[in-house]
Amino acid sequence: MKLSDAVIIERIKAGDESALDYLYKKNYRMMVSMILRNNGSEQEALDVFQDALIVFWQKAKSEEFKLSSKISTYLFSVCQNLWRKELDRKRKFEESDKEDSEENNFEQQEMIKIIHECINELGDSCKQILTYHYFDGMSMDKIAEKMGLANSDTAKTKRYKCKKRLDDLIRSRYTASDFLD
Amino acid sequence: MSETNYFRLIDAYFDGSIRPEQKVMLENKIQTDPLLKAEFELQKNIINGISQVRTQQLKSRLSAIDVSGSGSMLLGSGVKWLAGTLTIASFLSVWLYWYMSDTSTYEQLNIELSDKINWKDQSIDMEVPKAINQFAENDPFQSKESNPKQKERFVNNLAPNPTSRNVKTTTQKDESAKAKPQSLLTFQDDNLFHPSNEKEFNKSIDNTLSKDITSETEIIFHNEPDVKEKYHYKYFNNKLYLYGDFQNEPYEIIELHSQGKKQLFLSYQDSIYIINDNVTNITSLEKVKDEMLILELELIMNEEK
Repeated sequence: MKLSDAVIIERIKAGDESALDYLYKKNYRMMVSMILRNNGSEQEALDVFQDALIVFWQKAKSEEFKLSSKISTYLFSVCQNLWRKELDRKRKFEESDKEDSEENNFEQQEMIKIIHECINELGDSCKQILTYHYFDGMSMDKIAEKMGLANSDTAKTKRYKCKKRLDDLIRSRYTASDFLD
Repeated sequence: MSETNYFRLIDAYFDGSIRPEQKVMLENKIQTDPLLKAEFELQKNIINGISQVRTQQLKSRLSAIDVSGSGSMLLGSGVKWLAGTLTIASFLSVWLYWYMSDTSTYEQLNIELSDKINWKDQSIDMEVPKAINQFAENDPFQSKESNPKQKERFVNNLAPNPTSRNVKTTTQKDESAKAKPQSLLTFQDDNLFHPSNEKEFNKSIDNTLSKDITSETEIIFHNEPDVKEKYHYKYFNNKLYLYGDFQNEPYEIIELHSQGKKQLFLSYQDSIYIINDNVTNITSLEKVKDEMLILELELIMNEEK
């Protein structure tokens, strides 16, 4: 089934993840080929294309988003930019003091690991409301509608409680790991 | 502003509800307050972590999608593109083929043969010039093979008028020398297209013709090929020359090896013609009548396709 760009945008705005699946299938070969042609590996190409799709997902969900080209053109540009950034990051990494950057990277990775563990300890509804709010940029009305909550105030309260719980979990873990170091 | 308010500002900063003047205030405070800066960095990491978790969810979903169908679909379109390109290239080749060969009444095909043909003492055969064609139209005989006497008579008729013969020979030279070979050219044949070589070729033809005109050389003129038998051939200088209107469809040469002997066939417009070796005079192409042989040749052609 062929979907028009307008229908795809509409579905993404409604949070329909199958629209993302459709774009992935449709544009997979073209985007991956572009990165492979530009010295990328297959895994790098896959990562960049998936990242580009997620960038598009986030953009398309915002109220201000207006598509001024075909989605495939937009995705191609995002892929190109992401791949340029990745090449730039690689180049800088090669030029930088690797020991220092590896040490900093390790600390950062450790913090991210703790944060991920804590998020995964939250219940599904908390995870959902936090990702809807911070990642998808959904309004409280939309979140309330999507999660079947009474109203936006209920959604707002739930979001606050979930975030506080997460902060507390992370603070306790992070402090503990600091002491262990 | 109290410290608690600054923590609220950090929260507002990350959910996008912070006002511009509050943002400036927060940024200035972060520069001077290490504790607030640490809190800001922690919150930034938490928000990034939430985004990463969601990103990983979506990426896992995408990674689970089977793109082999999409790949094969696109590969299919690639194949279609390739097929389309090949088709266009084929049409272009056929068009070029006919365009380049459309320089004379007769189409000539040169094929280098490994078997040497002894053509010494053979006469040089030439197509009949237009003027003679007109003369030949009144001739009830269609080819020298059908009636050698008629051919002789035809030559004799020309003999008393050497001037006329010379003029017609020149016309013949132009037709023969400028006729470009068709496909199946060998590497050596490419030289024929080179201007300098073309001059040399013309020159050599001139020399040959001037020699032919001498009383020692026999010049034989053929009648125009029979309308019923449209296609003719001959070997000249180890090359096979085909004569006829081959502009309708591409033809195919089939080489059949049997008991150490090689036999050539020409397939054109649903008919197969036999090309006998050592034929140095323009000869009508005879259709193969043996049904078993036709079947065998058709099988060979189909296998090649």
